[in-house]
Amino acid sequence: MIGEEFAAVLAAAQEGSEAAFSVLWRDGNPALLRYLRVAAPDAADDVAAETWVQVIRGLPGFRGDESAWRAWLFTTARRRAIDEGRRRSRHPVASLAEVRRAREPRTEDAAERAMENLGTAAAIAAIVALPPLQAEVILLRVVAGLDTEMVARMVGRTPGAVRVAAHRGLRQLAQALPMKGVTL
Amino acid sequence: MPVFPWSAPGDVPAVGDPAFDALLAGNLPPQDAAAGLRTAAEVIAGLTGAPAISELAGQASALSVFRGAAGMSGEPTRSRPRRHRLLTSLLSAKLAAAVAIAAVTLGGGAVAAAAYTGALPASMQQLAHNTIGAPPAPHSASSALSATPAGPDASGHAAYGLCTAYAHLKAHGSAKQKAVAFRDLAIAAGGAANVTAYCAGVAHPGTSPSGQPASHPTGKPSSMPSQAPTGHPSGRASTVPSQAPTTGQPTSHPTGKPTSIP
Repeated sequence: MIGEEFAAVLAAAQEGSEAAFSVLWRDGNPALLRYLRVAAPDAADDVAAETWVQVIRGLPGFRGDESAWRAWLFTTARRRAIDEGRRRSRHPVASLAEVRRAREPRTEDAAERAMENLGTAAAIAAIVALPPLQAEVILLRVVAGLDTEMVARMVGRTPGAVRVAAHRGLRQLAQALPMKGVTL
Repeated sequence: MPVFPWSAPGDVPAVGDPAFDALLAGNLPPQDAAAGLRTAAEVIAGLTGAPAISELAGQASALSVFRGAAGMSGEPTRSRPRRHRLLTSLLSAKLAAAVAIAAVTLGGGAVAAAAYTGALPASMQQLAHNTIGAPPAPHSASSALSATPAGPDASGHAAYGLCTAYAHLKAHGSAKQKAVAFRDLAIAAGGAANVTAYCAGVAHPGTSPSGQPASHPTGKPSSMPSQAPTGHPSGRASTVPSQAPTTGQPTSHPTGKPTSIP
């Protein structure tokens, strides 16, 4: 979250300021990667990079506050993740759930990242184990910081259904064994 | 029922419980969570933890894409002399540019500038067209050579970008954004009084000699076939260092007020 300075940072980035763009990128990219490690497990880095290419192209025309910015960022990432899933599986794909089932997650990546940030890697592993809708809804609420109405629009469900899916996912997480070795 | 002081999970609330809404909103850290919710709270905390080094590793690559795109839209006049020097040295380093664009699959920076002067081989020009919306590869060799480095394209892009940015902000932007855009436009035009004439004369940029317009930064993908990857010959995009200057150094790119008007 950038907060109060968002409007100034955005305007400067739209004028070509690399420093301002770096602020937007450093704020958004880790969250993007965490979402994509679940939405596009084999291709998170590639899809994140493609997302930024598209966002950079559209940056001069973007108008909105920080939550609109995050909605645009993650909507773009979500569409690219679905496109990537279609490319790889070569079947027409109707939903993110099918995209994820078509791939196997690469456990070596998870192990590498675990060395750097054990809490995050373990959290992602727990989310990946959830049913796809619950996983996506929790990520969009928590990692993307989007509200229930925006998440509902993105995933094509009612806000009530989104809330139920998020709660069910959290219940399942709560019932899992406590994670070993996580220090907070 | 006995209470165990160690890892007893406790009861997990039902769907609809406000504790879940608090977790989702980031208002319930693990140390404040009831035993039944602690694991869920720890997952949330892990998801929202500080960035890891690996999550920030792609910054140089993203900046080079950003720099390339900045070359398409308007930039304040002060940066033009720098771009001119860059373009002149690029013509003699055409081969280096071809190698760079193959390595930095997203293109950008100095290579992107070359994409606008016809300094790239046709296959690389087409890659630049697909990734950053540079003009498509020209069909005839002679049209590629006729573009000059310091010629109308450089100022044409800046003028078009500045004029359209100001026009858009006049309709939709805040007073501050409008003022900033007008200031940059006035500098490029050589005075506020010249702005109307300056904008009246700008041609549509990116019109290659064959007359096809380049793609605009509207946020929609450019016309790529859906089955082709967006210029990823090696399949990995974010780990190759670009040839642009590192981000730690201050550049001469203006980020605020110009200090002199040429």
